[in-house]
Amino acid sequence: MIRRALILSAVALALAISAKAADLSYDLTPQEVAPGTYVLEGTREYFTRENGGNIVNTAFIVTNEGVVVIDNGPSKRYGEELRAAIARVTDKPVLRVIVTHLHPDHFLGGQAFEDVPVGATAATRAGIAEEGTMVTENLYRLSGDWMRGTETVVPSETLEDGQVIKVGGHTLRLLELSGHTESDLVVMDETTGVLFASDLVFHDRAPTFPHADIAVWLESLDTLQALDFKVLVPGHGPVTRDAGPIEQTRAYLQWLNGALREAAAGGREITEVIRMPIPPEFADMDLVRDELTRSVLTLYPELARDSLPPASN
Amino acid sequence: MRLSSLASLALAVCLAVSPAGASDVTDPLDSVVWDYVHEQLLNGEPVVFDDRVQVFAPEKVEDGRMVPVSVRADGIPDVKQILVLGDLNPIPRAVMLEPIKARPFIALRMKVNEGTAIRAAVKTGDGVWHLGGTVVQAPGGGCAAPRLVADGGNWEDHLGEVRARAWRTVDGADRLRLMIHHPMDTGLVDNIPEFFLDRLTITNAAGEEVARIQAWSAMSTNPVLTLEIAPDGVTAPGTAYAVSGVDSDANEVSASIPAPSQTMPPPPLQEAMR
Ligand SMILES: [Zn+2]
Repeated sequence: MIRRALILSAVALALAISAKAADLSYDLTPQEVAPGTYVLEGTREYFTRENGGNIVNTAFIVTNEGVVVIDNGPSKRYGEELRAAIARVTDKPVLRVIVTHLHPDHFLGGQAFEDVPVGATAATRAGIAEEGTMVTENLYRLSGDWMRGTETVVPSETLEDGQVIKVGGHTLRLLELSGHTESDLVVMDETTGVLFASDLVFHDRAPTFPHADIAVWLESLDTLQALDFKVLVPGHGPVTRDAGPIEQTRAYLQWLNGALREAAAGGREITEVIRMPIPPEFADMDLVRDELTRSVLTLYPELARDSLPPASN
Repeated sequence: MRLSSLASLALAVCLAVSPAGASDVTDPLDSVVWDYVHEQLLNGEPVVFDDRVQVFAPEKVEDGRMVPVSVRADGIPDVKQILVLGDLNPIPRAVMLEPIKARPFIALRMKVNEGTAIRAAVKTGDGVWHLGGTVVQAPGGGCAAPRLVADGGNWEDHLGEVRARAWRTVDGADRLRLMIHHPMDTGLVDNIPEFFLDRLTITNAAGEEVARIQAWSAMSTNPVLTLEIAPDGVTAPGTAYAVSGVDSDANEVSASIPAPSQTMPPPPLQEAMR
């Protein structure tokens, strides 16, 4: 009797869970930011079981021949909903997907695009092949049921720095920069003037540093600012028509870099550094204290080590 | 400060009235293993939850192999020992400081095997443990995960090497920061036996032992420790502190830390968190 009750409740629970899974939807709404160019802006949050990882900007360009997609989102479900959102805008086929870098919110929608070429730089392809399974597991933990069925798909073809893709009347110039990760692929649509800046640019949302090199990142920001763009699509945060987000990201990186070096030279330990005051100009950035803590845990140990001279006898 | 911390503080103040001998006190951190911690790690000795024992750690970490923790127990007289432990760790103790002529302060980085209460137990001369703590959320596997770093695989070449420096604080103490190259194997991974830095002693140039440390393998790989030597224990200008220690395989550690030439800038105004 007890056994049967248990089985029944297990069935009920399974039904409840699957009903809940079926209800999940990202409600993706493409915003046209330039002619034929659409951005799906994520929330300025960290991965949660409420947002399902929709914390990232993805984009697509509808050309005369078909659609080019830039990043495919944080889960299989997102990829499928992105594909459906594209189909609501145009009946042209998806021609290709460009993955900007190896962070999971940018490539885990890959299963929805396995029928088209998915391009990324050699370094990004290698990084996804190496770390993909681990980061996917991590997202299952953070985003929960939204991740159901998601598996890592390693991009199928290699894109090169300086490569020009001419498609359906658009000229897309690719730049392989780095600093946010070892390889950050930026897409400049020379036809519309839209710059897809990848996670080299954050806007009103604190930058993240799990694979970052701040000095290199700062150089990449200078490269981006020198480009002739009309519309700037950051990796996270709202689209603009000026270089404001580049300047904001640069200012934050410069402050963080200086503050961490000063703390290390002054003999501070991590527990003190994560509580340091945040300048008022960054205080309104979403997640700034959480991301500062994550950044310090990633970046500070090496700086702290370097601040201590050899002392062995 | 979070509401739950406020509640714990309120509770701590109530409980601070009289030390409790047996495990008849309510743990403000609500840990399921509190009785075990009290009976086995604190020998069932009298305890009080005391808000003067401040424990700082991030609210959550993504990598349980390196959780920074610092403890301050200013205002508690006659501190004999500060024990830092993680309730749910398979190796709960991380470090124990005897602050002979040091301030009741220690900062370290430790492993946590899962989300857990992190506590500091401060033992005073009257035999009472004064407890403070915080809760850290973490994914599983810090103690049972491979080493965080091991010098590109050739840690044997650097075993026991010390990097260290002293800073003079604005109020006349010496802050010492040390990093000791050591794998700190827990014995819980890949059949690698437990192998860890065991003890360290710090002596000033007058020959006075100013601090003694007992370490456990729950400290992170390449342990980093921060201590503050009180003004009456600082080494004279132009001299150096001597660091001597031994690991669990009887390998010796020996280093010297010159007296500080530089005063630490006053701490930046820190925001009230936790
Ligand atoms: Zn990223």
